Amino acid sequence: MPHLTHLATCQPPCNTRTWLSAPHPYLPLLATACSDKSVRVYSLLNFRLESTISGGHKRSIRSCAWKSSAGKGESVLGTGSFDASAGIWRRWEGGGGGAGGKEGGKGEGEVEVDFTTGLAGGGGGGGDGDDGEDEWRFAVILDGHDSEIKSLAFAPSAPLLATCSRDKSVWIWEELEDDNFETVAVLQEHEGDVKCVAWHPAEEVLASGSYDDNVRLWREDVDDWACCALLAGHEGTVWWVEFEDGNGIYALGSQEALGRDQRAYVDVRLKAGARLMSCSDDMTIRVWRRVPREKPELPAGQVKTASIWKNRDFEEVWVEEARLPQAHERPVYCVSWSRKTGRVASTGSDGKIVVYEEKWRSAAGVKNGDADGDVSMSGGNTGPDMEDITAKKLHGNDGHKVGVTEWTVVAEIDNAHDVFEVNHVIWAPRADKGKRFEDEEVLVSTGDDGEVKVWTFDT
Amino acid sequence: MSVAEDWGRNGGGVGTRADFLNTSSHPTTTPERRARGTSAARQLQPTQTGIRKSSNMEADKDNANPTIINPSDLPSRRRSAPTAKRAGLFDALTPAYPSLVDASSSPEPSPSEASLSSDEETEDIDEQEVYDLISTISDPEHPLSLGSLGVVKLEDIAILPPTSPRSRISTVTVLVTPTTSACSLTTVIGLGVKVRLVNALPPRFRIDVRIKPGTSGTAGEVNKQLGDKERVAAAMENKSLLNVVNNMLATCE
Repeated sequence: MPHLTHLATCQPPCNTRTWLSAPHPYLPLLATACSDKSVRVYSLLNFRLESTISGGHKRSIRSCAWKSSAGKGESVLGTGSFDASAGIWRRWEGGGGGAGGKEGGKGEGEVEVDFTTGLAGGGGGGGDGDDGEDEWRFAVILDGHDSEIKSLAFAPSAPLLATCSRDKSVWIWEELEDDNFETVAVLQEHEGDVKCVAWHPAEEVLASGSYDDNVRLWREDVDDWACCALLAGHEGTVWWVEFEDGNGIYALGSQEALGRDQRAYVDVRLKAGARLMSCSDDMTIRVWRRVPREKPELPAGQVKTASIWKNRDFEEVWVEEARLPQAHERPVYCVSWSRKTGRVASTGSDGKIVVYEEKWRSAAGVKNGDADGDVSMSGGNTGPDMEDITAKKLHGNDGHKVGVTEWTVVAEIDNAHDVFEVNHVIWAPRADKGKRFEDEEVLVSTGDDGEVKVWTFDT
Repeated sequence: MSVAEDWGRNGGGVGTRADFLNTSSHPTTTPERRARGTSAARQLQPTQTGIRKSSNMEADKDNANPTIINPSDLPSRRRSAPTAKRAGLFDALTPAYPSLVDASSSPEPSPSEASLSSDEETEDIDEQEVYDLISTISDPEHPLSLGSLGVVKLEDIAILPPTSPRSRISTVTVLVTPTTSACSLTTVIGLGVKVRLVNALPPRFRIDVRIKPGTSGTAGEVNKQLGDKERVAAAMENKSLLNVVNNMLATCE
């Protein structure tokens, strides 16, 4: 049986709640947003504290995000705080000191020395080292939101940053040149706090989840950013949204020897692009998929709402494609969709970490998959409101709608952070010396106990 | 500055130094029972009706003449005979997972479970104890306790045991009865109850504070705010709100 094994707990832990951890886009580093107004940067090589960023925010740091499109040699980290501001921090990584930041190939011993140095200062304000080049520099503060910033995300390729807040708005900032950010959009359609934002991996599309129970998708229409889709259905706050990798379809395995329905589904998926996953206070995790535009009209029976869009093609239809098997007993705070394996991990208030996999549903529905009893009725338990043309093609002979893929729970661990709530979970590349194979990933969980724990997934 | 004003724009402004985590030194909390971690908390947003009224003038109070319960009629362990202990609704369920109460006597405690079971987890907490923790909280607009106002009642407190043998998490549910159906301070009262319990009970308890069904027109909205971890956390970093809550809790033992 696949299972999760505790590999390490990052040391030293924070003594207050930690909210979220973000792996660096290419270095073996992990940035953890802490309620003590700091960000702790841990090494994924040895799970020790590497540096601390503090002094920029007046209240808890709720979220942090790396700029993945930053040029090599410099790390750029964004922080979102309850003080309503976002901070941008920079650090040179190529300098002589290194601070463990060099990519690969560096001797473990050398790294250890640097980390020990970092530890000596123990969170003393982010300026432990005497080599100024290795220090985090507070580059710019982004003011504008009226209340707490909950989440922020850099676009993967464009020079765009999205922030969202309790003030019900999503802001999109464009970085014109280094540290010169201009507000390009203030999106206000949500009717409650905006809890999270996430960028599409291949398109300039932003997703947001809210206290109003809805997910919205946004993109630029001519010159203005606007809402292009409303994904309604959750019955509680949407805590997290995340897109899959643009090539997520290949996680299902070989495209050879597929049945007719499976081929049709692959076709739809390739046209639809990356799917979105959302998790909620209602304890469900849902998978949403764009309906590829095939005809100029909306599907028959769909209620046409008065279009406020300049451009009809702008509007997109997304449907709830599947629900993951319900494994949580309290609100689900986070899901992470592995870009490498397509596996999904979730966590939440009940302190569990659960891992799911998507597979082709076996033809008869009785082989292998159903035997373990954990099979989700992917797409089978949803109402008629998620009907769409493509889904209709996939109905079984008996009229009972069954997805062509199914999600199953493959591993589950209780009390991941003792009795505390777990706020965040994310897949990260494994970098410690125990790494077993190329592209191995670890799961990183962040909890109310102030700990950041690292787990291996063993098949 | 009214509380409502500060909620509305708590993002900026002065007083942001108020750190909820520092309240563990406050006399009303009992940090020794809470090994680590912080209370859950989130930002509470004023409702449409807001808190616009000054609490200085009696006539402006939401409920200027509340019904007050005679102290001798309040539920208390001291005043009741041992045999009078109320048969809790969930008492019958409690022994379902004996390892939670006493790890050494459970049939097969796993090594990790046994070692994780600290003293605090062996404590048996009942509804009366929860009641005692919250009934002495002061009402934000009257110099009276929530117990004497009937805002919190023993019969509206439930402790639910872990839902599976593997889980060690229990849930405390408290239903709050506002003094009037239009009580705009309901959210603050709920927050006070939540903060009190999160600080005083061991972290294995999840605290769900809700408005008793049928007692408030804005119950859904208030319940959602009180159930939102992020909002409560942010609320407890809001100095004005923190002061209000601390004043409410100042009368707790």
